[in-house]
Amino acid sequence: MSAADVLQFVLSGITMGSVYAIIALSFTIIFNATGVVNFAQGDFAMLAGLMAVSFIGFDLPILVAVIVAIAATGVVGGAIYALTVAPIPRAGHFTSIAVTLGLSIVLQKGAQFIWGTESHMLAPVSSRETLHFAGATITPQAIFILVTSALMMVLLYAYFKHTRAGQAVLACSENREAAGLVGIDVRWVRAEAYVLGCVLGALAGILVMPITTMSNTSGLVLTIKGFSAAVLGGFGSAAGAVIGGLVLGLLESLSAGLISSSYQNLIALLVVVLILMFRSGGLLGTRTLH
Amino acid sequence: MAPARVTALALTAVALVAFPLAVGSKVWLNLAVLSGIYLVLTAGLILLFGYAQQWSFGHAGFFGFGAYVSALSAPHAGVWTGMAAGTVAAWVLGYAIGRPILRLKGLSLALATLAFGEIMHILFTELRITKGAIGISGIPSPSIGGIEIDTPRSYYWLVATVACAVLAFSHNIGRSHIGRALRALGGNEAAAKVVGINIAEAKAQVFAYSAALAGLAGALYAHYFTFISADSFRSDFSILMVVIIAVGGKDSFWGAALGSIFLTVAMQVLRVQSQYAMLFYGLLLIVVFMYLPGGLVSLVRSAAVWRR
Amino acid sequence: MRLQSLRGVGIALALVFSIVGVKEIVPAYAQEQSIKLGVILTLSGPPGRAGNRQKDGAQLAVDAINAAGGIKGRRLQLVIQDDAGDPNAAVTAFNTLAAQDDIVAIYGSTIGSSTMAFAPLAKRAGIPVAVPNATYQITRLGNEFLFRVAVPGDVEVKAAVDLAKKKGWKRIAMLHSNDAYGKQGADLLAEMKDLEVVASESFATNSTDYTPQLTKIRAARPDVIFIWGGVPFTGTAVKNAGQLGITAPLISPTAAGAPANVAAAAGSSALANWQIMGVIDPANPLPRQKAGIEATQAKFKNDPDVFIASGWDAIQVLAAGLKNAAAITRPALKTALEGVKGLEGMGGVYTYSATQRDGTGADSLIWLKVVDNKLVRNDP
Repeated sequence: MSAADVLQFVLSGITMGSVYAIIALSFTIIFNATGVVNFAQGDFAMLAGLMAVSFIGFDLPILVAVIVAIAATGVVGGAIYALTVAPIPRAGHFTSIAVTLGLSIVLQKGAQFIWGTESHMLAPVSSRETLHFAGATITPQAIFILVTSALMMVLLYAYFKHTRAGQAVLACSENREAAGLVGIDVRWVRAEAYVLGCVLGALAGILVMPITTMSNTSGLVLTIKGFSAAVLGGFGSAAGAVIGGLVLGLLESLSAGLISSSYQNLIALLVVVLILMFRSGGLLGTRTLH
Repeated sequence: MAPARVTALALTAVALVAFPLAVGSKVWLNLAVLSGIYLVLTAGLILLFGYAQQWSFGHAGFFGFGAYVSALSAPHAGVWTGMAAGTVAAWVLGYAIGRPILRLKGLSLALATLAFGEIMHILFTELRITKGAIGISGIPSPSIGGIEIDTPRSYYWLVATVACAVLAFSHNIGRSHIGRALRALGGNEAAAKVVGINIAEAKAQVFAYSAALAGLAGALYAHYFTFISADSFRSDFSILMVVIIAVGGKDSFWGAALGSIFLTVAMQVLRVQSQYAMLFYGLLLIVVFMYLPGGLVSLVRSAAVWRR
Repeated sequence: MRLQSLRGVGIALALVFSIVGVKEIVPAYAQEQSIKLGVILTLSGPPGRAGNRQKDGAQLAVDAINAAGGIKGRRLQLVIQDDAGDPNAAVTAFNTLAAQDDIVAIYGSTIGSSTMAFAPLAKRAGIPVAVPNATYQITRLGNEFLFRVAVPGDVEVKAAVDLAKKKGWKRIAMLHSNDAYGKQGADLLAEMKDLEVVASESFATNSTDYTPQLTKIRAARPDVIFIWGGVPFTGTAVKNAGQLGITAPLISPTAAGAPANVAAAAGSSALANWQIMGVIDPANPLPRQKAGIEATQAKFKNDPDVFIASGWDAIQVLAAGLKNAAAITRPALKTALEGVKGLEGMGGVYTYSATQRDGTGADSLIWLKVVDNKLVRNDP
């Protein structure tokens, strides 16, 4: 086992970790603003990916197809918000998990009607196979994911800190009543945050699809990983979501590479549980967990 | 007991006894056995979810653990001993896991229990002794006085008896001071602690109890199908349990019964390969959870209220 | 919305669902004349990709047979149940189907443990079962009601090892999926003698990246790597191998020869080294394969894979048995199936006997490669 090999593990770990981070972020944004624990988050990723494939099939250029798919997922998210979240503003965690589980089934089966159960592929961002870096290899797609994720974090940070819309979302998360009192239209803000979360989930789907293919059942795994990453990092904390995602990705990759590939997930999960035992609110603590 | 409750119980008792006599179809008896097994499982979860407000998304781990312990020990020690061993082993595991893990709350707890269920499933798949996906076949059926209990009808009697006993016992716990302590704990932990309830111990005990019942249900399951494999104990099943509880109504044992029956029948319907059914099922879940947070049982209750 | 009206909505929906449900449970009043075949496959969840193709293949064959006049003047009809990858759900499905007296045979299931679970019940009920999966133990247990309509796993492993030996590839590495299919391959390989297995790694079918495992394998400097799994992860693994600059030859079994895997590995440098076992050469189909290939392309606009072939062949085998059976009953069908010899299907030529339960074997296997994003025959 050489240093280059370990570097290889680290690189693949942070690549997948970035995808988990984006999904975890989308969980967090939706949760903070609306209180919904969205167990259908991964299915939005799936929808975006499969829609992109269809749009490409309609002869749209790839970039346009991808953007339209992400936007369309946002629209679907808005509709879902109106139908399942807006009517029950005071739903507890348990209810939202249960409702979104049902939603996940509907999305999966709906996707099956349109796209069947086959796995579909999206072409990666570059046809070049790999790039070499300090003895390890990394694909252009992985670099694209890392760069896009970093860019996304920066954009989101700017959005929350420096735009009125973003600050409104933050205000709603901190204290819904107070936000309402100072004139923020809480309902619109919640809807915006929800759609933003869906768009992020969609982006994650587009980014990961060239690596792994996507079928109507691919959403569930992404949901679980994103949820785990979010809780691990500290549910409710955006930075936590990112850290949680990266840590989870690294855990999986390093356990497979350094310890045992058969028990890869077991080791990763065990470490997650141990981390939670020592820091019950997740790595970065939590704001609005209970 | 209130007269309405007595009538409800009496009617249920009559239905339970009449059912296998009236229905000849193996298919329906099979569904009844499955409902009963789920009922044993969910009785414990009602105390955990409904009273103590602690969630578990990994109980398939205990279910499978009880199933394997019973399946592996029954050929050596007999089926009844095997089932008891499965129940006790699950209780021990539940306590051992519960004591540390229940320090977590809310979503952290959900994730930790989900992780536990997954870890158990990986162990079931990978360890030599559980034979992974090939599974353990030829699991012996129980017998009483030389008569084997290996048909849906005879197993129905076994499961119905066990389920009723479990429900009665669990309901009694619920109504006792233990139940009140659990409700206090579920309502407001800090206040419960002030009143002198040993929070950590209470949580671990109820978790262990629900694990034991899951193990018992698993043992019943193993000896009914005479075959188990790791594929039966995935996280989907843990999540299904949560759905049963939520659909039936997590605060009530009647809810557990309703949920178990409803879900068993629903799954039977869904198995008939019809995509529309599955879609409809998802929509139904959404509507039920949105507008009936108390579960189906609240529907029955409000109907009863209307009639007065 | 007012709470009472919502409750009303809830009740109404529950009622509708129950009606739909009851309608589905009560067996359909299809034409009384039709011959019913029960089907138990995994149609949801990840193994559903294979299961749905198996179902499609079976339905294609049924449609073709019915269009040609049916069997002894009666139409064939499939009664389908989904076991969702849970063996005990398969048992429940089996019980439901076996209870319908007019179902004369069962086709199923996609995953080995499901068939293992209901095989003893099939024996007890005396109902013949056409088995589409590769779990080799199934047909070695002395259950005379099972008839495999696929290449068993041990034949596939032996074919891979034979190729390695022929080419002088001594150091063998194994990368397998952690489901029953993959593990079976790894276990069988480990048991074989006169081999040097330098590395054995597994991957979870729900993970997305196999570079850690392949990095470890690469470090062991194998002469050949077996990539043993189904769809679509095998394709992703091949792609990862190419990304790591692995130039060793790669060998995969029949379950890997599917369009989704080809798509997943598209553009990879490792494609040139990848040998896949298959049963159909789309460019040069054998006469016995033409009808099935045409039907698949007409309906689905793509080439059949091993799963479609399995579904199609199962129906062909059962139909052959039904034609020769003295009566359309379960015991007569079972006897007739044992007499099926040289039945030509899409995926192979099937011969059964009282002791021969694997209808086909290594003779059905050909070697394929990916050229221009399609699978073509390539004898190594």
